[in-house]
Amino acid sequence: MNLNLFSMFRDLADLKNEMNRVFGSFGSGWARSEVKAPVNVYESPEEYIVLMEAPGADKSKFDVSLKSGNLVVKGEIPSLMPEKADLHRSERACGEFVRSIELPGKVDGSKVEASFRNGLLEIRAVKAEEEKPKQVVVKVG
Amino acid sequence: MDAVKKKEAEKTEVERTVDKPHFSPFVEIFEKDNVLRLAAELPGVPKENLEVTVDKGILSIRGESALGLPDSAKQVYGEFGEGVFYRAFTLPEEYNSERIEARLDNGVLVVEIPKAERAKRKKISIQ
Repeated sequence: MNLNLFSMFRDLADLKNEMNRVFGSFGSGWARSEVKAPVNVYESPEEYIVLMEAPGADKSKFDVSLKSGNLVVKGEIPSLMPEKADLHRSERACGEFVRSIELPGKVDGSKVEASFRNGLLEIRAVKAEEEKPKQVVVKVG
Repeated sequence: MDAVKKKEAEKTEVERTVDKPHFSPFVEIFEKDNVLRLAAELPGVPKENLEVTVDKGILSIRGESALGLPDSAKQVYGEFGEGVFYRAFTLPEEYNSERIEARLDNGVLVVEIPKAERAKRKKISIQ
């Protein structure tokens, strides 16, 4: 494992920046967004729900597909910065991205729906019958 | 030393406490054609949950995300949080805070602040 002093320091700096970002420290080193399109995965009795943060994404460029149980999402977040502008701060992670998300269980491939609102992509995948909770009535003799 | 204390006092003025986790949105700030533009990422924040204010030369952005999930949904994996977004910026004096425009588009807030007339570069003709 290549763990030299430099990389250790850099990691600490990244951690500090991330802490600053999450806890809202005021005025010290802001981190640049490293993860493009972060996701959260949720489960309800009927379906799996994937939420992806893609603020400013071009809705027409989303490509959502299901590949061997993984949800593959391609998209693009364009930069708003015009050419020859004076840049003051650039923290947004713009450009094309591909995310492959492992779903917790099997889904019915014909029942996957996606919608995009307020910069959030929501994908709802109905679970395969075998994944849905079943009520088994056991007779007590 | 007094200068440092003063700065600290200014900081506390714009800070507020919240009872939920809060996040600083990522921003892009650039200037073109005498307009300063700030783009802040506010995914999951509907317009009615967003507040943009200018007070004593400080531009504040405050919002709360609403993920709109059904009550039965339990989180099984997570890379981002839900909660309150907050960030504040000191505006340079040469910008006209009376004429600020803001719009929210696909989870990105764009704030446009024009340069004050008196701060614009003028070419003076020589007679």
